[in-house]
Formats: sequence, C-alpha cells, structure tokens
Amino acid sequence: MKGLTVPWVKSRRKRSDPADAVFAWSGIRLARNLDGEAFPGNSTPDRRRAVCAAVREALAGNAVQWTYRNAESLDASEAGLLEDARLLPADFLQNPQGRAILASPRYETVILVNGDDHLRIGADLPGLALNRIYPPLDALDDELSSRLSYAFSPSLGFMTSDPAAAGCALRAGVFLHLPGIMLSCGEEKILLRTAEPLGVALSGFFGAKDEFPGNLYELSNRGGLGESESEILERVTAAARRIADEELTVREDLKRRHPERIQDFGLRSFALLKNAYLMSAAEAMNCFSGVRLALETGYLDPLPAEINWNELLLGVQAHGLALPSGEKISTEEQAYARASFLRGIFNPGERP
Amino acid sequence: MLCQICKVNPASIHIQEIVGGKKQTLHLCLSCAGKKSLAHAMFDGMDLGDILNTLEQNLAEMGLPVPGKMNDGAAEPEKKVCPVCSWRLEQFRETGRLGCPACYTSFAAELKTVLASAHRACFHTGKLPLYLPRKAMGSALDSLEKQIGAKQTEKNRIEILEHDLAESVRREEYELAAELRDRIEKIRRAVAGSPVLNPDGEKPG
Repeated sequence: MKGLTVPWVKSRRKRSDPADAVFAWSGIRLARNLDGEAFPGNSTPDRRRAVCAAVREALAGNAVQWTYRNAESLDASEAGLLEDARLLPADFLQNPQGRAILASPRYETVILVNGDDHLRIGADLPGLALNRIYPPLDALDDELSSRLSYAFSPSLGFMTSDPAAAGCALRAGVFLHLPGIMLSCGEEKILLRTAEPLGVALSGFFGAKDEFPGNLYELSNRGGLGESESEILERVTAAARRIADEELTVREDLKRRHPERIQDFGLRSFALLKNAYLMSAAEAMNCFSGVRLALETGYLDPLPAEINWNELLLGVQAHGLALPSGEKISTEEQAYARASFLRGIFNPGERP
Repeated sequence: MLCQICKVNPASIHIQEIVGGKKQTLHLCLSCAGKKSLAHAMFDGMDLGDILNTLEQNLAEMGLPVPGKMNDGAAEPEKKVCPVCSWRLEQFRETGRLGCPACYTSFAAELKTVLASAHRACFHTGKLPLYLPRKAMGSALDSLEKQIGAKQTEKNRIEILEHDLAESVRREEYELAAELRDRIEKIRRAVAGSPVLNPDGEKPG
C-alpha cells in the first residue's frame, strides 16, 4: 500500500498525559495575496502563471530546498495522495491552469499558489502542536513579505478573497478523537454548545459540518480580525484542551455506568476489521475509533504491535489504494483492497 | 379561504381571540387588514393597520424581506462593480468571494455587516508584513490618523509607524522616515492632549 510520509502521520513518543491520545493532529494555514493583483478566482491563466513565477522567485534564496510542481503537470497519483493527506483541497486540480504547489522535502511545509488566494502556506504536526507549528511558518511568511508585496491594510490586515478570513488570515485547526462524547449523547449538539462560546467551529475529516467519520472533530478558529495570531492559537489550544478534558470525563462516566456501550462499539469494530471483505473508508475510520476507544479504556487487550492510528487513517483513504502504477481502481475494488489490507493488520500472523 | 371583509382577496391573516370563553377567528387579506381603524368589536380599539405598518418598517430596517414588497428599490445598489477589477457585487453575493484587494474599498458599505458577523472586531490587531509597500504608505497613514480613538488601537498605530520608521531608515529612505517621524509626533501630541485617552494628563498650554 503506497503511502506518503507527511508530518502528521509520524509516530510520536508516548506521553503520560492521557489527554494526549485525544489529540490526533494539528495544522495551521496562512492565506496571503499579492498587492495590486486580482484574486485567483477573478484572474486570467497568464496572470496566475505570473504569480507562480513571482512566488517561485521569492523562494529562490530560501534555506529550504523547495520542490516546485506545476498543477497542470502534476502526477495524478501524487496529487491523489496529497489530497488524502489533506494538503491539497479536492478542487485544486479541477482548474489546474496557473496553479502550483511548492513543498519542502518531506512536506513539512506546503505552499499552494492560486487556490482561493495567491498563497496558502500550511503545515501540520501530530498531537496538540499549534505553538510548535507556527514559528517556522511565521518566519517563512516574514521572508516572503519582504520579497513580495502583500495586499495588506493596517485596518483590515491581510486581505483575502473571502472577507470572513481577513485580518490575521490564519486558520488554526486541531483534530480531536471524541468517541466517548459520541457514545454518551449520540449527537454532536453537546459539542456545538461547548464550541460556540469558545469561538471555534467544528468540521469533520472530509470538511463537512455535519458528518464526523471516525469520530474525528476538527476545532478551528473563525475569523481573524480583532485578534492577534498568538491570541488565536491560545484560544484554539485552550478550546481543544477543554474539550479533551470533557472527553476523558465522559469516558470515565461511561466506564462506571455503561461499560457495555464501550465494549459493544469496540469489540464489534474489532470483529469487522478482522473479518470484513469489503469496507469503505468511512466505515474503516469508524471501526478504528471503536478499537482505539476500547484499547484506551482497557476493554481490549493491547494488540501485538503498536498501531500508528494517523498512519492507518491515511493509508485507507481513496488514493492510497490505487495501483502502484497510479491507475485508478473502482470503488468496489478499493473496498476489497482496503478490507484485505486491514485483515492483514488485525489478524497478525495469519494468512489473509 | 376568502377575506371576510372584502370577500375578494384570499385571506392571509388569521386572527384568533377568545371572547367570553368562545374562540373567534377573523380571516383577512393584507389590504383590508391594512385599512386603518377597523371598526370590529374584536379589535377593541387596537389599530391593526398601525400594527402591520410598524411591522413592515421593522422588517425593512432589519434587512429582512417584507412580504408583498420584495425587490422594490433593491435592484440598483446590487449592480455595483469594482472599478479596479470589474468584479460585480452580485458575484460576491453568489460566491462569497471578492475579486481583488481593492474590492474591500469598492464594496466597503456592503462588507460592513459581513465583517462584523464573521469576525470578533472590525480592525486588525495581528502581525504586520515586514515592510508595507511604498505606495500604500500614504493612504495607510491617512486612515491610521482617522482612527485616533480607542486606546488599544492607538498603541498599535504608533508601534506600526515606529517599526516602519526603523525599516525606512535601514533602507535609507530618509524622506519617508522624516514623514513617519512627523506623524508619530502628531499622534503622540494628540494622545497627550485627549480628554479621553489621557484624562489625568496636563493639557499642553
């Protein structure tokens, strides 16, 4: 199974803090535009190509070895993997003219040129790591701003094509694994009630606001005016901790009053992973959630090999299951390949 | 069901009241209900026409569609276009996106509510790009001066100007540096003399 070693799937040192298991990964995106230039959605392919050249030029002296890829000539299988890893939005390649991607050697930082805005600078790391992700992005942004002329006004901050994103033009997100909260109230309403006053928005792995496969919830800030960058990071980190604490409390409560809910979810999921012959990505993600919860609450004995859940999550996405040649396979073939792969992992030592 | 008064238009207003233990319902159309001083025992002096007119006004003020009066006079402002990039306000309404940085100025009035609802405040308090572009400097300084008001804003403005002063000296743009120095001085004097920002200070003679 082909994979992409992006930072957020790297394995982490085990920490003593139980909340650590709840934080899946964190990411920051900075949006920037060039002064005096129409936004990509209102521009021509030639102007967009000029912007790509300008950005490439601006990074020429940078310490990092940037790889420049033109979206028009991007390898289909690599594009698919970048999409799975959430480094590339799904519609980026639908209009590839005048779009490009610049990436550091191991995708620590990825810059998209001419998506919604001229530049989108992004980085991810596993766990709760916003304060570690930001400084290098900040430094890169400073360097770019001294070589390019950003569209900026002292009152409106960094001007983005979406006015709701202007100001700091920073989107900080933390993915949390919240199976306890899901099991205990079955709906996301409790989360929404908690998230709203904390000033954070919730979205699922695929970006929807109402579907949360794998019980993965992304907490992110809304807006960027009236707050400094550090205030935003502070706020999202605090909200993530608050909700992680809630999750752990709920798990304790479930163990005391309704352990059978954990056992059912966990053992049923485990059985599916060991035995299914066809499985969709969303179903696989939900099963991972059940098994993780059971392992973390002690209702399932530790598996022979430690599982890197982020890596597994990425591995079962659509493009990770393409043939090595990059040829696409049908949904049913994917479902079969995924299930075979998972049977291999969850039935160690047996022939699949 | 038809309006009980004119018996011509369909009734869209249904008023129910319990009178003497019995439920009475009156079915009216918009125009009959709007006619002033309906002399009907049920209204007991209440002028339904007035109530409905006020409601219409409140809806219009809140920007909500007024039933029966949609699209009147709303057509013209929506035809706005950004002179710099030709993006139409209509396009912003459809896509939620602007066409170029100048659109923020071209559609400033329309963006006010959008910005207020999407953000925690209406002005930027985050980082600055390492160096503001030279041509933006003039208008930026003008707008900064207009914002002398909130203490918090003030602290940031001086910081911005001092930062740029240092940068312009570094780049040997001494004319710009002198201009910046003058503006900083002006703001400092204004703050010192302001009864709002410096209530206990000595007023300059």
